[in-house]
Amino acid sequence: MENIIQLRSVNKWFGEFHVLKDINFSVSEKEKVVICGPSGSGKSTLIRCINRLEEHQKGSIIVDGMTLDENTKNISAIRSEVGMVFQQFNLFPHLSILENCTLAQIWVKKKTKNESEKLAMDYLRKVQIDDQALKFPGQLSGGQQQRAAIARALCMEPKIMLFDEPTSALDPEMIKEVLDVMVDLAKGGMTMCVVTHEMGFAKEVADRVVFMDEGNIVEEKKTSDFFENPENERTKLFLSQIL
Amino acid sequence: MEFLNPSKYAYFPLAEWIEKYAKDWFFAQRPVFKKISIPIENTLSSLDSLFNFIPLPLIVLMFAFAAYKTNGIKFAIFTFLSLIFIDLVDVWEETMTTMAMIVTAVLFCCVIGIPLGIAASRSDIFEMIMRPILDIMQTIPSFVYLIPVVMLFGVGLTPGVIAIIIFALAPVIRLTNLGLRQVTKGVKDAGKALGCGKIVVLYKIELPLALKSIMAGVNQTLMLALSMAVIAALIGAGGLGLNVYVGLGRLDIGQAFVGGLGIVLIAIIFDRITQKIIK
Ligand SMILES: Nc1ncnc2c1ncn2[C@@H]1O[C@H](COP(=O)(O)OP(=O)(O)OP(=O)(O)O)[C@@H](O)[C@H]1O
Ligand SMILES: [Mg+2]
Repeated sequence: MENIIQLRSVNKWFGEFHVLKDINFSVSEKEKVVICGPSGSGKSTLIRCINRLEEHQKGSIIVDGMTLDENTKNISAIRSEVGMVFQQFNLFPHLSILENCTLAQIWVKKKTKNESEKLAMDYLRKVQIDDQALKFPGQLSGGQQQRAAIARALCMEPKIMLFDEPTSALDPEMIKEVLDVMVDLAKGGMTMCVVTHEMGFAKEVADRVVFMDEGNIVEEKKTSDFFENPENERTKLFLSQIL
Repeated sequence: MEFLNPSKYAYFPLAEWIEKYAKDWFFAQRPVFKKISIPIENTLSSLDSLFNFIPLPLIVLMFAFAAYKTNGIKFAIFTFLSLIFIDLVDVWEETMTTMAMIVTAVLFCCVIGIPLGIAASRSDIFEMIMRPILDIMQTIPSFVYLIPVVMLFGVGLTPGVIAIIIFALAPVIRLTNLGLRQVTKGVKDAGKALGCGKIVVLYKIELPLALKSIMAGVNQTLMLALSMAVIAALIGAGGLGLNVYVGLGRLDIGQAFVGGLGIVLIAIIFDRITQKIIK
């Protein structure tokens, strides 16, 4: 299968600190990959490199046939194909939920207001918050905000969706409603990279699980193998703590 | 002990040098600076004739309406009565001139200050350079500005407004910078991740989120501009400041008081209205 995301020997430093150490990682089309690992292991940094919210210093990253480098035009093309959902939702607080979903459609894709509102309402319906469209982010619950953020990303009709701990900032009773949306999305055939510690979700939808520690990919296996026979000691320790 | 005073043995003729060389240089630059001041002059004279062209009752009603919309009926009555009072004590025209000066100054403070604030928020180096300059601009006694301004721009209404602009510029730069720096990285990342370029992120995300802070800067700038209105009268700017200045010179307490009161009243009106707009 064709790799839609391809990282080869990627290295990244924050000053002196070596965050990503020679990472080789690829995702094929429609594949769902879960990335887990202890805090500070570089998971966020890794997926933020995929849409160049972080710049890597060595190695190559190719997303949908486009190489990520200093070429700015390329970057915005890639970013509009890669949706991202953040731990803290990061909705635009000064805009209504609907406007959150139309902003980039209008200003990046140059669509009309009507067109973009129609698509936005479609996706808001899909995540079941179309009745909240005219409210502002601050008026919604955490779960609703995160679903709005997913709808906002989907409005750009991306080929790939990146999730950075999308349920970590949520109260327990709201986690399920967000995971349900993500499961639906996965079943719809979206290519997904999900940083999460929700192992139930990983077992249900992931094709592959990647375990990171201290900037390395320590273990990478098909989901069933990952949970049944982890090889690395650190993976075993991590799994015993989290399951 | 007087024999230890350095000035007993030598004299450093700084004052003479400046008088001799700097003055000539300043005067030589005048044509250039006159050109720079043309847009200010045009704005000022259009606003001045506009304010004096609109019939008095209409202006009173407009302000009362703005006061009502922002602060409610009590403040609307206060505004209404204050403006009537200003006409009763016969300083209406001067008040309009002062307003034209203030509005022009604040307008140019925004046009100059907001882009500088944006630049300062983008670059730590630029901010580092800007900061001491702004500190100096705010701490130098306002009288000191008048000398170079007069040398470069001459005397009159426009140089007066220029002095006001320099004096009042700092807050809008500072608070634009601050407001933009307070926008969280998360929402900027979200904008970028959606494919928005720098300009879209700035205009559609950062500036709207910093607006409250920017408006607070504009409000402070406005207040500084009003406080400078009297001093600007020293270099031939008209308006209420002139009443105060002339009144002081002639020990005409009445005239000085009326001028001062006019400034206070419009300061209160402008302040309350803009404060509420911020919220
Ligand atoms: N902008 C930055 N500047 C310097 N160091 C950073 C920066 N961002 C992250 N780091 C450091 O890089 C390391 C990896 O960070 P990263 O956020 O990728 O970890 P993570 O695996 O996502 O952890 P968590 O589970 O806590 O989110 C951490 O030690 C962090 O302190
Ligand atoms: Mg993280």
